[in-house]
Amino acid sequence: MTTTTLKAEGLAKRYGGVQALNSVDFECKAGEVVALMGDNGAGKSTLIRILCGATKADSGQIVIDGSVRTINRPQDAIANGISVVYQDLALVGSMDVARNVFLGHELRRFGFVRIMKMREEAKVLLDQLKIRISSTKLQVESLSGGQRQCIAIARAVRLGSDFVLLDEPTAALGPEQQANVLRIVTELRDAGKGIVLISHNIDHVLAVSDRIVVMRAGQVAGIRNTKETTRQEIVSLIVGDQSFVKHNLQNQSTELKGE
Amino acid sequence: MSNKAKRLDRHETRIGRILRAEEFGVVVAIVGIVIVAMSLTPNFAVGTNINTILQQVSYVAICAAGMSLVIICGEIDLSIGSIYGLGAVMYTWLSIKMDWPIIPSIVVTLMLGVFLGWLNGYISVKLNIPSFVVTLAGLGALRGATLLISEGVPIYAKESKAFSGLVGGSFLGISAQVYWMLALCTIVGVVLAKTKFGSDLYAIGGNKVAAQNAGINVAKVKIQSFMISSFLATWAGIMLVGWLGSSNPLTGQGLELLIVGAIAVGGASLFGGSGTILGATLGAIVGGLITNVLVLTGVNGNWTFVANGLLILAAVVINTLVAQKRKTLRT
Repeated sequence: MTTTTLKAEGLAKRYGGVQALNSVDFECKAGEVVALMGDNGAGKSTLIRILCGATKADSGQIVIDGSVRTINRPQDAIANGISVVYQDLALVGSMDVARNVFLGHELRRFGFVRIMKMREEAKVLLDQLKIRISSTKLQVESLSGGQRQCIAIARAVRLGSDFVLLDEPTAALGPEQQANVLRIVTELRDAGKGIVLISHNIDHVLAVSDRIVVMRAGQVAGIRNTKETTRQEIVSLIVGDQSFVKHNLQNQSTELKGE
Repeated sequence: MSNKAKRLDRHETRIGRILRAEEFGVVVAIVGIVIVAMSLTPNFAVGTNINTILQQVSYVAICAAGMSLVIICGEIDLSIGSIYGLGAVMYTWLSIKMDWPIIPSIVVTLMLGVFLGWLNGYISVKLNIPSFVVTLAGLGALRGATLLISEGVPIYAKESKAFSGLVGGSFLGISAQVYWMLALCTIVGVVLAKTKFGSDLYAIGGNKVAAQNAGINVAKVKIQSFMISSFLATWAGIMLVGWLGSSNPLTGQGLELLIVGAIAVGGASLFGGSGTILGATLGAIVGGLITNVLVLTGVNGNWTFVANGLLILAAVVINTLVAQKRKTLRT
């Protein structure tokens, strides 16, 4: 069995006078968590938006398993096995949990939406992911941020996507909820999904990712295997300041000498 | 949990569901108006009077069913009254002035209505112009077109016993319009509540970006809602001609107010995302009841406009307060 690979080659995108992306190559294999880090405006979100069909790249291409895919709309991305989970942009608050899990892909029979069946299946899916929500009939706006994030992820899982792109899934969540979301991320990876995780939280990234791609000013500043890198190295890549690293190393060595 | 506790729990949720239902307010309003009306005049609670109310309400209710789809997905069609009037006039113009047979006249008029709905939707959605503005222009332009086609005078309809019986007769003491209202509102209600199209409308009105990300074709669904709404308004206009026997170029003037009022009174949010056809239909009945009570008690007819304006305001204020209350209860 060959491993499914999502590749972006030479993606570029310009917004007015700003070069948001400048010839970016990116890769995520099935069964790995690739963290995407970088300062605000580094181009992370633009990259994700292109991969999920929300924005069209000016140039470059998206390749899955060696064949070039045309992704112009969100529907195209979903058809190619790519789902995105945006923070707060994924769910309809006024609709219930089951309808949100099945949003845009409702179960139907004779043209009619099967709400009972959707509630049952949503319950099973949430149980599988160990997401605790008392009823699938609850309106999403009545749930906590963590629960909402989990429902959004559950939807991506249900679509059977090979690749799940998560945009800041742990921001604005409490510690327990963050842990829950990270647990789901690793479970999905173990189930063979390719996960792209945008995050500002280095602890989370170091905890769950296999590789870290750091972006700066619309370009890839560096790619590191999580096991072989340090917090300092990632930070220096993010800020683009080598002296920062040296400074830190010097500090460490003086501390050592002090002992 | 013991069986008794379970039963109690279920019982409570049932009551809670009734209290939380969007239609709860409008049902209370109907009961209240009926009680007041019965105490004010003995002529109210008479079978023929109730039938008359429903007969008059039916046109508003049919239009409101269609417009609900537009409002639920976060748009509005202010040209609906003009489309209704154009439907009435166009049908008589084709069948009398052009001397077309009745059925082709009806079909072509309906096609024109659907086209106008498509135009409203296309300009609003594809060119990203608020539908409020686009359809306000339509309200004026289509009324002007109606006056031009009719040359400003009523046109008599082609005589047809079959057609006027179908849309203006009565069966078992109940007017045909009431059956039409029940049938069309039920169909639209089922489409809204049970199909993917209906689900998409709620999703778009609730969170357009989320709907888009979930792969829903937002533009297509919105344009379709305008087309259905226009279709129903045009048909209501044709039905009116079949009953009255003539069309008037001023038919449907101010109807948009009654329709939006019915939808708001029915518990829908005018900002999209919520609302039901049952609510809109009951909302239309509230409007009809108020007009009827004012007439029966001999109040100057112009008060009905005042009453309707205030009704919309009250409905929107109450809906907003209830929504805010719900939010604070949750957090």
